[in-house]
Amino acid sequence: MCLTQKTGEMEQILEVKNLSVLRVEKTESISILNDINFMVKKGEMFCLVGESGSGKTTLALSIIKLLPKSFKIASGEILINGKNILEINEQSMRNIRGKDISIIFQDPSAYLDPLFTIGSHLQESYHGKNENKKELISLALQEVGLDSEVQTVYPHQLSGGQQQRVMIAMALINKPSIIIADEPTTALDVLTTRQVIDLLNAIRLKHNPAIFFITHDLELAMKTGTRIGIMYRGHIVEIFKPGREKPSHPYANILLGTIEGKDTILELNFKKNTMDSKQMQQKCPFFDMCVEKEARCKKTIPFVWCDSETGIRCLKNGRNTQV
Amino acid sequence: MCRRHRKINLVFLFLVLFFCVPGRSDATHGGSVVISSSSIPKSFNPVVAKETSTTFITGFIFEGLTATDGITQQVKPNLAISWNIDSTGKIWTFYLRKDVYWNDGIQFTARDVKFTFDRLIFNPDIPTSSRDVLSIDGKPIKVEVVEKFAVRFYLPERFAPFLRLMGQEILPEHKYKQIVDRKAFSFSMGLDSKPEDIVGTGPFMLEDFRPGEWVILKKNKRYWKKDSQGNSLPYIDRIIILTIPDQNLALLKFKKGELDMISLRPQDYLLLMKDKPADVKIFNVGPSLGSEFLVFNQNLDSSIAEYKKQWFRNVKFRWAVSCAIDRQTIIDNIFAGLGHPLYGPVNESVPEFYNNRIRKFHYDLRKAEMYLAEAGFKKGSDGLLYDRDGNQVSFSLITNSNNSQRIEQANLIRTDLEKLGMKVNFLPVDFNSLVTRINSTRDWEAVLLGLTGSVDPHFGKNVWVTSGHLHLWNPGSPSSVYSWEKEIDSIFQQAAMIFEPEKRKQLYDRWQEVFCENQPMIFTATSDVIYAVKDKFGNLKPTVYGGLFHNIEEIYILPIESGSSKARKKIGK
Amino acid sequence: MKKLVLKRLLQLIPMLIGMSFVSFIIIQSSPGDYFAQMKMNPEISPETIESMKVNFGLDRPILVQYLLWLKNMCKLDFGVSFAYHIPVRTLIKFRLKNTICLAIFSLVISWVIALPLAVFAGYREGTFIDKIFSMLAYLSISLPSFFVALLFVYFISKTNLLPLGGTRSIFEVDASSFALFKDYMEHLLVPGLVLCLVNVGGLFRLMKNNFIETFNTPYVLAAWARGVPRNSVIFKHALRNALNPMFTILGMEIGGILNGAALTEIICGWPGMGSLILEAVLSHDLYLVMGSLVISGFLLIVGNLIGDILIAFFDPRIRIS
Repeated sequence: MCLTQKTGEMEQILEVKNLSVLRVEKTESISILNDINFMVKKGEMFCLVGESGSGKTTLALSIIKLLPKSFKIASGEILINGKNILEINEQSMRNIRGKDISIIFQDPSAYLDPLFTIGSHLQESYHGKNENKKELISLALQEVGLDSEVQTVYPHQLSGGQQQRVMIAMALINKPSIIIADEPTTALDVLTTRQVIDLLNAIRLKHNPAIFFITHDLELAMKTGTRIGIMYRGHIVEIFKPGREKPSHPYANILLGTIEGKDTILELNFKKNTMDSKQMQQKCPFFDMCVEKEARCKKTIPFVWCDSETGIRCLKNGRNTQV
Repeated sequence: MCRRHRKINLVFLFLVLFFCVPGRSDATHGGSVVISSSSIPKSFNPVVAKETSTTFITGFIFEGLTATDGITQQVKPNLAISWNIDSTGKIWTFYLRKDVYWNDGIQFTARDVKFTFDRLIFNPDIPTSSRDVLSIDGKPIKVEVVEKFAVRFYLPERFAPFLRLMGQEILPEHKYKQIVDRKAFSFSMGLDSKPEDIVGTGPFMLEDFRPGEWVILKKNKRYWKKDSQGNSLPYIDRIIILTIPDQNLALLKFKKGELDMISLRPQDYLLLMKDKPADVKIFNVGPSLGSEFLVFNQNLDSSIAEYKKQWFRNVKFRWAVSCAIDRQTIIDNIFAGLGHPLYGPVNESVPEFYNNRIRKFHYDLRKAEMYLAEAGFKKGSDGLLYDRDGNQVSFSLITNSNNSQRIEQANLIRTDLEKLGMKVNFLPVDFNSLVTRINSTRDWEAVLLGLTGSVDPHFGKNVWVTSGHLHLWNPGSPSSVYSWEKEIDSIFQQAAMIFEPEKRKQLYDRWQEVFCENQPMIFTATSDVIYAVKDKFGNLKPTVYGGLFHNIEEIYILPIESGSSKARKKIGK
Repeated sequence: MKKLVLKRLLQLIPMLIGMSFVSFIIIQSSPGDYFAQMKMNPEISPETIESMKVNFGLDRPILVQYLLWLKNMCKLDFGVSFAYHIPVRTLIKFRLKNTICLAIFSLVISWVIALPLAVFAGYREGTFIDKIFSMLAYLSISLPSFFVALLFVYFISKTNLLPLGGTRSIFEVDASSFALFKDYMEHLLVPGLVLCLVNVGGLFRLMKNNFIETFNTPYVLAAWARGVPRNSVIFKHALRNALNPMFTILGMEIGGILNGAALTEIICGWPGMGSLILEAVLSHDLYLVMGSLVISGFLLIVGNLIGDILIAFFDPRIRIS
């Protein structure tokens, strides 16, 4: 069963509306994602930038509905090709995974089964008709720049870069509408990173999938993405288009500042990166660290769309300053 | 018919009656007996292997020139019809039966007897304890074939027990000569044999066996004994001996009907009586020939403290201990009341030698205290006993740790002696260490042990005479020997050479008197021998000496109502 | 891999020598010997016992005895048993077959039961049924084998379901070979099931933990993410990886065949190596003990070797390094 695309919304492959995800720990429930709103369009490279612990991977796993047991989707909608996947059952979801939406993970050596050959992995990932299988696998390998002989090899015999290429080959073999890439280059060296990015771009241009690229590296995102979302402590605080404009959110500014080599007075507290739901309601998530904070920031700040593609969660810097 | 013929006929009749088993007119042929053995038969070689698990089985297969009657304990002719002794008393001539065939068909002759003695028993390459038993003062016996069916033994001395010793199993020359020539006899007739390798004259022969599981004996069709009507014996077709090391499991199987007979320990008897199956008969045949006893180390050369030696060597000390032991409680606790007290070295189950007039130290604490006082021992104000020099009477008692009954007994004795104020340190010791201590290092003070018994006292000689290697209380040291021990030595030497039973009995009676008067070994008690048998057998005559099977060839299975007397049983499930 | 096998087999030799030497010295140094029982028999003279000792070579110094034994071992002559008067090799042959049958039977059955149940319970971790199985597994682990054996024997004897003791009932001569086989299997069931009951708990827990661990690995997550069908994820990815560490265990179990079953054999009356060795040790039957030890050590090494070979065979990371 394949998701049909609704006419009129052809461009938006992935749309996330007001998504909140909690982690339930005995009696406590901790808010991991709060009021996430964004969309990714066909052919886009949407880069989501955030530090470790900001909830990026949780978001990625939510989209493919493979959250660990202790996580709960509290509210919101996730639409893939127009269909809210939060309402469909697991069996239907299995039909979507790998076919309409595929995902590439961070450390490829961990995500490949060490006991099976590359060829076995690829064959497994292919969900189309059997008569085309061999051909399409070869094609996929070609596209990612790997020799067909690699099919007989085991994961541990490949380098990190080659493994990542295999992951990409598996991700695109069914020609998905959207590819999620969760920090695919973080474990790779600079040269290989470049290669992987180039590869993703090539795929994007050739097959036109939407690519949801997650990273902690703003600099990389600025170079690569067509649109960038900034995430802080489970909130999307800004979405902007690089090149055309600079981000305005105070957090984004700090991140930029570090790229540009400026001193920063910010000491980010890595330990307590989560707040419970109650705390969430009380203030802007960046309140404690913000240099531009005001008294009025001490309440729930909504995410405001400035236009169809960009938006910000900040009272001071929002284009729409009606608040 | 002339007179001479009638005389011969009468003699013939007498011989026939004397040697044939009285048969019953309703004795039926056929059937099997299923019994259990608690240890695994280790071999089928009666010369080399003497442990009970082996002799139990070879006893059905092999025979000797004489046999000891299971009921009367008298020696009776077996493979030999008659014998005579010359005037010196040292040369015995045996006249053999002419109708005996080995179970492979060859006839039994005097050559087989000579072969057994010369090439097997007295063969230095073959380690066998039969040699010890049959050597008199270390000298071997010379054997000569006189005629085809007559054999002559030349003994170095007159030796009364010799006749009984002729129960020694005879093996065939034709079968084993080559093996002996190859010097392989010690390792032959073992568990790797084929049934046809085990050739004897006895009522049964080996049919099949699985080591550690069962041995099956089938009847020897060529067996020479016939019943009074001339029918072939044995009546039973097969004996099946299952190896069941765990006695509890054996009892279980007996109750379920998988075993026909079982020998009961006291606790088994009680269990069985609680829910006795209807068709089971119980036989309590009397006190077993084994004995349990307490010994003190009286050797002056031992390494124990001098003052302790003086206690142990004081006969009144030993009398006191003997009086203080409550034998009935031991019987009640350990044998569940199914036992007999022992006061001397010969058991009442051996009427031929038992002397009832021995001094018996019955349980009497008052007497015990009196003897101690006479010996100079006094109880202190703390209730403990002290000797005349002020040493507290305390000693160690050891026994083997793998015998739980003996351990219980030792504890009871300890409690008894504590009433006299003695302090007994009881220590169970691993059997091997025990033997080492007793035989080699001799560092022990008091020991509780047991011995198996025999009919003729001579066979236990090594315990009673000062030169014997099991003369536990006073081994080998000439300075420690008492005059009464010397008297016993002389008794054994004489009695071995006297043939007249009454004279022998007189000597052995005297031995028992002297022995019990001096209490070097303080006997305690022995258990009864109890058998449980399914009530399906005829001619069953169990005794203490003979067990259940001394007359195996005449035991038969009572005919069953359902008809076929040749019913063969499927055992197991 | 051939090199690995060869290396291990070569390691066998010094190991066996070392082990046999130490054992020999210990047995010979402990007080008493096989003839202790005989010494307490008034009818056997010390001279005869001495000649028996000489016959068996026990009068020489300990080191000489050991070297003689070793020399014979190289010719595969294990010596003669004092108690049975026949070659040790013959005795061991009789019993070894029974022990191996028992071990293989219980091995196969316990694995066939434990592993699928472990996967089943692991997949449903935390549910009621998982809790039941885990509790049963703990019971199996904590009960000592002799206790289970005794209980089982008692139960069987009361209910008469299976024969107890021995390997065969006594049949008529013309029983068919199928009937014989069936009878053997019936006798095997009691000790076999006891061993299963005792081992199955530990296996279950191990496998379940392995399975849960592999089930939570990144590559399993990736498999879900790639839309791999559920059965493939469980059986192809999770199970296969969970099985890997079990090969080491399998090797250990094969190696421990002789020792593991001893108590059970004795209580259930199964005539195997266990009861043979016990009897031999208790009665100081020197060459029988030594022969059994050598076989035991050999099986240990070979068993572990098999385990290692299996791991190497099934794990490409080791096979292709």
